[in-house]
Amino acid sequence: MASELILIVVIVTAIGFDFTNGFHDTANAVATSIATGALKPRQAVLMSAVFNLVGAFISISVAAKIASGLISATSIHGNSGLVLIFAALCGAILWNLLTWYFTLPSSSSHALIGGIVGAALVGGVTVKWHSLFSSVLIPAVFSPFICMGIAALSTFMVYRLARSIGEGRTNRGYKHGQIISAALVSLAHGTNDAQKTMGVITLALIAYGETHLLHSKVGAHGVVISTALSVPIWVKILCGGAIASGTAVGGWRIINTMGNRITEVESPQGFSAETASAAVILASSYYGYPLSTTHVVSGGVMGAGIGKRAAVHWGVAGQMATGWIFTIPAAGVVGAIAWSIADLFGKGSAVGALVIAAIVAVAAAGVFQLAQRKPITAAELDRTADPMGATLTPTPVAAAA
Amino acid sequence: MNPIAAVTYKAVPPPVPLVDWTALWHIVVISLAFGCGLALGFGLLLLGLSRGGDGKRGVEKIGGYLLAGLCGAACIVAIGVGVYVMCNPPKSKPDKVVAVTSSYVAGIRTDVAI
Repeated sequence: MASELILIVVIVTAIGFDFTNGFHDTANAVATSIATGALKPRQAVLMSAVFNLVGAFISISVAAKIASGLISATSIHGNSGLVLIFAALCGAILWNLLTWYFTLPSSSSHALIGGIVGAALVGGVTVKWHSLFSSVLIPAVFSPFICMGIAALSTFMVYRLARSIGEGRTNRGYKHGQIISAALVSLAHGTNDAQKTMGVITLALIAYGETHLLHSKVGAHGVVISTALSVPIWVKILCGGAIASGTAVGGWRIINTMGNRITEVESPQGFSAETASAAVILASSYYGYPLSTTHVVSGGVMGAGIGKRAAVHWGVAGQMATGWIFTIPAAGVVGAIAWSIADLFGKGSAVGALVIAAIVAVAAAGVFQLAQRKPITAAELDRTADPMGATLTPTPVAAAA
Repeated sequence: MNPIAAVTYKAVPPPVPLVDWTALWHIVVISLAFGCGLALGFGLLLLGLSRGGDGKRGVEKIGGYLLAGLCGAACIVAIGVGVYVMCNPPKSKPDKVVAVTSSYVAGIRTDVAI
């Protein structure tokens, strides 16, 4: 009975994380389209939600990476394994909400990875450090700079070309293009992020005893060569629905930072930033590097500013980078604390999990309440009528929060 | 040791580099080609439409619309390739060598990666 209860709590928490992932990362795909007035805010997030949902069903390679790439899937079992996954999710949710409150675009994926690593360390589960460095941390360092360079070059070339077309026509044309590029980034985001939660739920199901979901390829001498996962269809539907719902709600606070506060974006810049981001995400996925879409798109927006020789607010960029550096350790610390508190009630105790769930729910409600004191609404971000009319002026991150 | 007898032993796996520079270089080149190519291609499409619409002579109009058509097609192909890659991710990398079975046949060692 306790196992079933913990499993339900884990699944509900995972869906909660996927929802926060949706509204936290909506900005990646649509911020520049909203900032340039290519799309109305509500239209943009609805379109992004649909493409996120579609993306969630495309492949499960990222799900497998999350579930078995960082920790050994076979070492997570029983109630203690479920509590460990639950603690990891708590760390990720709290970090997502905190950065959302401070209007900081940070990586939900890294928050989840940090939570898993933190809970695994205190829970006595071996972390695959080499995999963490080579697949997560090193790409996280390189990817924003690669995208920044490509977006800068692309923006520079586009503005050179625009001299022959005329400013008005260029802006109008690229606004149409931005609808397609935003859809492409949304699709890429769906294929990456919805699947991370699918991986976590599948890991929980394996820990619960659904071992038929894990397929291990064993070589000579019983050495496990590789592991593969089967994600049940109901998990795909739940996760796709959760991330799409979160996206449709619209994380206006982060959309404002990404679209308006890094640099002032025009439609050719937005198109360049989005196509560069989509290209980097897809090329990296092809070579097996799951990237943070947040880092890539942020780098793209900065690059678009550099390419036009427009003012890039490096203070805001610096605050974002600081947030990125702290994401994995901070989520890891919360995950470790959550696991330790739950462990006080006994190893794999359902009571411990419920206590942590209550604490996280109260903390989440508190953050939402605080955010309501200075809300950012869709109407404030709408620039379809007056593309250059800045209703929200660039302000430091802390001040905005 | 009898060189004819088959010997099976576990070997230490070769160290996997922390940064795969070759893959990183490929990512940069492919992203550069697609990212810049798409933005530039779309720009040329707009230029073609602009020239086609404003052109006074038939040749100018045809040239403009031809450029727009070609660039539009190139953009659609590039997007199609992107969507195809998303829908059909590559198979996982070849399994790393975790053990090696070696046999001595007629005094020559033969390694078989598992």
